[in-house]
Amino acid sequence: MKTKKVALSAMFLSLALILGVIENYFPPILPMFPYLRLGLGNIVILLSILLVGKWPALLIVSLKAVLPAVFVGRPTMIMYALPASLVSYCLSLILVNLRVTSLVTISGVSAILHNITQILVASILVKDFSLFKYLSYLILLGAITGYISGLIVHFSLKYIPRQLTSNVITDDLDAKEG
Amino acid sequence: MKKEKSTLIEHYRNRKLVKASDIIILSIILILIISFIFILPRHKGGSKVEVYENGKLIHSVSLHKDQVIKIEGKLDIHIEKGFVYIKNSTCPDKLCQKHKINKVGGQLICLPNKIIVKIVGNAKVDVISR
Repeated sequence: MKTKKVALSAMFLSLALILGVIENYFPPILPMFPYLRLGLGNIVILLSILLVGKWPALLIVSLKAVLPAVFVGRPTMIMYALPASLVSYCLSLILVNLRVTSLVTISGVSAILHNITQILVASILVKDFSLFKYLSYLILLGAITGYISGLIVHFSLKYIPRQLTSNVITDDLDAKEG
Repeated sequence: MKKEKSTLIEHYRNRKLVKASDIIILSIILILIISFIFILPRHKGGSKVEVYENGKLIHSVSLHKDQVIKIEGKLDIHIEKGFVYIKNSTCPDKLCQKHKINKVGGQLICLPNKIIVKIVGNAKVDVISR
């Protein structure tokens, strides 16, 4: 059973990385924030929290933030990507376990937090907080992209065949956690 | 409890797309966006309007103070609510009166009168380069 989880996690990581590459072909949404992307990787992260559990998902999130920087050879990218990814991962993990909101809302809220964290890190790095005057746009864009990818998560979860998400994986998870 | 935990996927699979809690959170987000648009200053002070005559700087004033700069025999420069425009120009084509500028880097040029009006700022960060 563990093999299945490892294989699934690896698949999710590669999917997240591929989506990140595809994202790079789109032009930046706002010219002043070249780091701001559509956040398609968010889809995979939310799905992996649900399908393979929180610890593998944490690994996927961290590697998704670190590996592109290693491939391209720009270590500074890690400083922009990693904190934001981790913060939004924590928020979506908490919200998923609360079971109060729908996946769409979870995705939207965590995308907003991702954007805010990224701009905070950028402001600290360049020691200039004037970037915060774009905060409303950042929240708006985060909401739009987050809600769109949340819809994708919602519907893909509905149509993923049950054999893939069967109790085999989750029972194994429970045995480990409990 | 354990039984319920094992159905985390099922919970979200069977959940409706929109419930009351989602609508509440969405409206909070919208209120936040709208209030930030009003709270945060659009122009972070320090932008200046510079007027050049024959290539020499003759005036340097704040963009955020409404005023009229008269240049005798040539034209009037109006600064109003962050916009700069030219009126009463003596030049024949009046091209310089056709548009307004409000951003750092914007220029009004009146060739016949040899007047250039520029908005300059002290924006430290234009772009975070990759």
